[in-house]
Amino acid sequence: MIKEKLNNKFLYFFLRAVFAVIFIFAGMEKISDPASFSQTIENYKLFPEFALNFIAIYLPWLEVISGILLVWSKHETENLLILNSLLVLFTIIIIISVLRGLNIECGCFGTAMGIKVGIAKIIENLVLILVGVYLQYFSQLRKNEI
Amino acid sequence: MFKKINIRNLLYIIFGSMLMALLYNSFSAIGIDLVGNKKEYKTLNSAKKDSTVNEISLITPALFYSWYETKSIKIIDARDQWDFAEGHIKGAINIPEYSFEKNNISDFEIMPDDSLVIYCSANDCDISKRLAEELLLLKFKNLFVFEEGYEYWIKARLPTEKSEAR
Repeated sequence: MIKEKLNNKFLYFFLRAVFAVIFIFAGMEKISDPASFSQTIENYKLFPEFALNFIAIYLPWLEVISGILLVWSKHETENLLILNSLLVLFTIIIIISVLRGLNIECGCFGTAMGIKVGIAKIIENLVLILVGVYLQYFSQLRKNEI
Repeated sequence: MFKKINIRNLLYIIFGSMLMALLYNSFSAIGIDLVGNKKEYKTLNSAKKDSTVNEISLITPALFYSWYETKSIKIIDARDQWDFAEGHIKGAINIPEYSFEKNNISDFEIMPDDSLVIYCSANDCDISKRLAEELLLLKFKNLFVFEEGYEYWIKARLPTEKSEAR
């Protein structure tokens, strides 16, 4: 019953568009200032120094390209898998930072917005993960139908 | 749930994005170095503590031990409080680098004019250098990093102690 209600074409396309746009926006913000994003990653104190710039250069592009392909309905399940994996990874990193008592900028949408890591950010990410799991599941059903 | 994942497409997206990112970064005016430049520090083996001002120096084990014996320096352990509690250089102050912020500097018994020798586990950890860089920004003048770290200190059977972080 619930599955039937959730398996709604309009709901699916709406959530997919929102999900993709969030990642495109987040990625674009980071691409616009890679040096600051590299500094933000360093503040998490989890990554080796030599890898910071590479992560700052690569990660935003992965978000943007996967987001664009998702809006475009190209390789949906693969792009959803990438974005969901990133989301889970970000959430784990934020949880670790909160547990370590760090009061740093999240850098989730670049450095311009000044969002800090914290419980609110974790809850926001968990909601996004729910949306991601929903999309992953129903993209699979749609693929099967085809 | 993941039965229909096409691994080839997945790899195309992952490596295609990497290629785009690297190309954009190469041609962009705001591009950054692919690998962060590792800062080089000079090594002191015999010098007065106050001869180095406003920069960070590495010190040799022999020099560190000679200063340690005269008790003219403050020793900073940059590792976390759990490692510190398990064992540290006798007399060291624990300032965990991971939770260090400029506003909590007053929590520690250090002043900008103090000579500070900072260490972490061993050569392969860089948190002692990171902490030194952060203290340099806070106008600390005499900063030294004992790069060989706590592992060397234990192997040399020099004085250690176990206690709670302070």
